[in-house]
Amino acid sequence: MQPEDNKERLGFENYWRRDVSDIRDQVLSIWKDHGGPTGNDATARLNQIVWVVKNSGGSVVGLSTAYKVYIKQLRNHLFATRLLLVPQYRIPGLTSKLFVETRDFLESIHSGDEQEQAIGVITLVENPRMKEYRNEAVWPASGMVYIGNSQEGHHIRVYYFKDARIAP
Amino acid sequence: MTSLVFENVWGNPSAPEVAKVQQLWRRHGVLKRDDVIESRSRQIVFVVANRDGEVGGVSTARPIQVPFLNNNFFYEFRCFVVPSFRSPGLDSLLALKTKDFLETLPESGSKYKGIVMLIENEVLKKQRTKAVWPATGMVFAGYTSQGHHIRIGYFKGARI
Repeated sequence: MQPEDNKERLGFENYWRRDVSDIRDQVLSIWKDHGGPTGNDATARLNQIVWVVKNSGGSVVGLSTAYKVYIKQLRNHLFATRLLLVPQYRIPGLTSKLFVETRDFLESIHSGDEQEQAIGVITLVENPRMKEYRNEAVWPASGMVYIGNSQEGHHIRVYYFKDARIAP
Repeated sequence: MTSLVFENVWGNPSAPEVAKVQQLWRRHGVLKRDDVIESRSRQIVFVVANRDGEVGGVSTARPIQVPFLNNNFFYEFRCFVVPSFRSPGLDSLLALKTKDFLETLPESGSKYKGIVMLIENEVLKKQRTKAVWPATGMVFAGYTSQGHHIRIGYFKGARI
């Protein structure tokens, strides 16, 4: 069944801090085939999975990951997020939906952190096509705001959690 | 709250309010040099006055190119409100009105992407720490090398 077919139902399953043994091999395979991490990096990133997108057959077709990182430019901790959808599932709107689900989930858990509480979500746009075509200053669906470039010229976008405060 | 009037003098440096603003800047030591006062006067957007015509606030906008924002052009926003005019929300209202007006200018959204402001006031830096200012939507984007806060407000439809 083609993903363009409206009959296909895609499911989102949350794996944050959960056992990933049932999807481990599929995720590693996706990363291997589509430029994701390999080796120890891949093993480490398995622990950062937030959402997994499964097709109607139960196969993994995309996922999001997040880890907390101190951002020097903002002098605060944020969740750095990454998304990957296998090419045949790069359907209009699905990337945004996966991002929004990830963002909202991280927002729902961030207040539980007693130390180094993240104030939002940050993402680095490395894909040249994304940089060229998704150049809205504020991405409409996700509210991600462009706040500059990395040293490598990648776009930095940020979304702050509700009521987040910065260091003075 | 005293009733206030927001007078738009953008592109009208000979407006009578401009001379009052110049006096205001001098009286409060905001700007001292005549050449700076003269050039800043050409950047005035709104003048805030009371019903008696007494001027107590001003906003200015200066076109700038911002290297860290992909070399895009923005308006650098500044405002000053004299202590006797200060009231909760007035600075936000001034910022909002100024941004809304600048957004209507022909090159806004295309050449000019939005407004940028630097928060240099130490009290503001300590008290106004919300990452997104609720009233104006100004988003925190980082610090200058002097530790001042940088905030951005994009115009609708702006692309970087």
